[in-house]
Amino acid sequence: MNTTTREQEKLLVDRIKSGDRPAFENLVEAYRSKVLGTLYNLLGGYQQAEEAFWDVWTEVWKSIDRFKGDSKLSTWIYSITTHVAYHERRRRKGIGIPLEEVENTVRSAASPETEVLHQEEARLLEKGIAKLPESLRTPLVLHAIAELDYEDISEILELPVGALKTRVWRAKIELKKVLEPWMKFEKI
Amino acid sequence: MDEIRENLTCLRVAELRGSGEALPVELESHASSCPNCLAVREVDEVLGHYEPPRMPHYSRERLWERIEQRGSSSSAVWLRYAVAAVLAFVAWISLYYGHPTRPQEARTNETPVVAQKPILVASLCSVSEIKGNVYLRSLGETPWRALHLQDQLTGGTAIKVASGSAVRFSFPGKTEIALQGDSEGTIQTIFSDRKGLDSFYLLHGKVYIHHRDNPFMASTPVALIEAVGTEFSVRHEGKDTEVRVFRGRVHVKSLKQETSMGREQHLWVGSRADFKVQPFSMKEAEPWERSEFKLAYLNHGKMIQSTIKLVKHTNAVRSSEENLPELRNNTENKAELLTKHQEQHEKSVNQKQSQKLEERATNYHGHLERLRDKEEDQMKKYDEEQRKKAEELLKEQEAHEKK
Repeated sequence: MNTTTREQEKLLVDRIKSGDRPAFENLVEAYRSKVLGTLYNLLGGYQQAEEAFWDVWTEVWKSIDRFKGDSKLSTWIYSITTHVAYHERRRRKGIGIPLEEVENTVRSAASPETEVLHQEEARLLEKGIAKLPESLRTPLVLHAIAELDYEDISEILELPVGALKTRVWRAKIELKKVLEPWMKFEKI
Repeated sequence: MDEIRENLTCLRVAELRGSGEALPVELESHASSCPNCLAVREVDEVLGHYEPPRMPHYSRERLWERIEQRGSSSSAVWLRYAVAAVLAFVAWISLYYGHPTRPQEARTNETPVVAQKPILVASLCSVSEIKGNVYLRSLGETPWRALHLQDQLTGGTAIKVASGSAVRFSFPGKTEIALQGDSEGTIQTIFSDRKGLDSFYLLHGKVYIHHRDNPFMASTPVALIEAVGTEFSVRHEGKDTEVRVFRGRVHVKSLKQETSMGREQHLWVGSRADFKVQPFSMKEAEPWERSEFKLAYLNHGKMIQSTIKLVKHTNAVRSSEENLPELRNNTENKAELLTKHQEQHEKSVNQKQSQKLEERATNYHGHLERLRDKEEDQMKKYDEEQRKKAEELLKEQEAHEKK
């Protein structure tokens, strides 16, 4: 991250710390789709993801004073996201992941035809991600959905970068197994 | 290309094995033939146009509505915790003070400073290391039992470390506590300004605290020590408490007075102490304050005696004076090594240069000799031609004269 972005980030954080609500709203706006996507894939259900989404932003608003700028703001937000998802999963342990909900979610697509194709592909992908063990799922989601650097994920999950890369790679190999039939169908 | 390189763990492993940096061509050929790499590329493609679900009913008003709802529900949770904790605290106090094995120090007439604050149950510490015999007594339990690594230490849990033993545990805010032998204390959460504060109450003995981000407070029967990003030690013996700060600042409160103290300062709190902050040298730090614990305990009937380091110190803890000779030595050694390397390098460079010059000179001489030979040959040829021409001319002249 360059100096200007850091400075802008610091300014934004200072404004939020002073209770500037519009500044906080802008922050939520900037991260909302990725945070929701991350939660959705970590928790595997839209309803839980939405609940957790509000928890994340409540936590960000409440504890922004504790953010000292040692790490990137995005790293800090995703760190909270990961923690909230982790606690939500622990709380709901044994309930299982309601994959049926996946079909009722709202996405955007260019045409009805591509929408159907993308919906199916996304459904399979989410199914695959939900089947992954937590140790592979979290690094993959943070890397592919939240689009974080390996260094940032390493900071959040407290894992070495090399190990993270291997986990993401393994997660993708596992995903391929789930997506295999779809890919064959698409080639036809 | 970088992306391919990033994803090719198999190739990365090969690189690490010493086959060197792979060329782009090698990467491409590998990526198109390796089934795993092909799979990764295909998945990347799918992930590339994956779009997560959207939130159709999101609005700024809704955001604040939900945040306020959650804020109030969290305070309701806090209130529930507080009521439960107060009840638990009352139960603990009655059990603790009624217990016959309670140490003598707790029976002093002095009102414990911490008793003025509500102590609640919320913290959850994890035990990192146990050496020797360490016991715990959870809230509501009467007898002491042996502490194990998997034990979860909630607020109100009392810990007793036998002589020659030690234990290390950490709070959720990552503050680390190393409790030395012959010590006893309780894990607590003190609520101040509606915020839970991790705390450790030292009934007697010695404790080393490496405080991290979250607010933390240590206490003894006569003092409250508030940590502000620091490393410090607390010792409570008899009726007095000594606080020594190795890094950062702490705020100390007694029944009547309060003060702030910083690095390399110490303070005695108690009935006989004058509550004056005084300097101390890092050299005076005892081994346990350097987190070196001398252990002596029985393990399966065998006497174990060793010295261990429980908490990793930051460099700041070691005094700069102490580090200087070491640093100087290191620098001098490095300088010597560098000079040697430089000399060797110069020698080798000079040798190489002179060798090259010699080679060039030899080549030049050879070339010169070849040129001379060539020149001589040419001269001989020329002489021969001239001689032949002169002879021919002479013959022609003779013939002409005869005519």
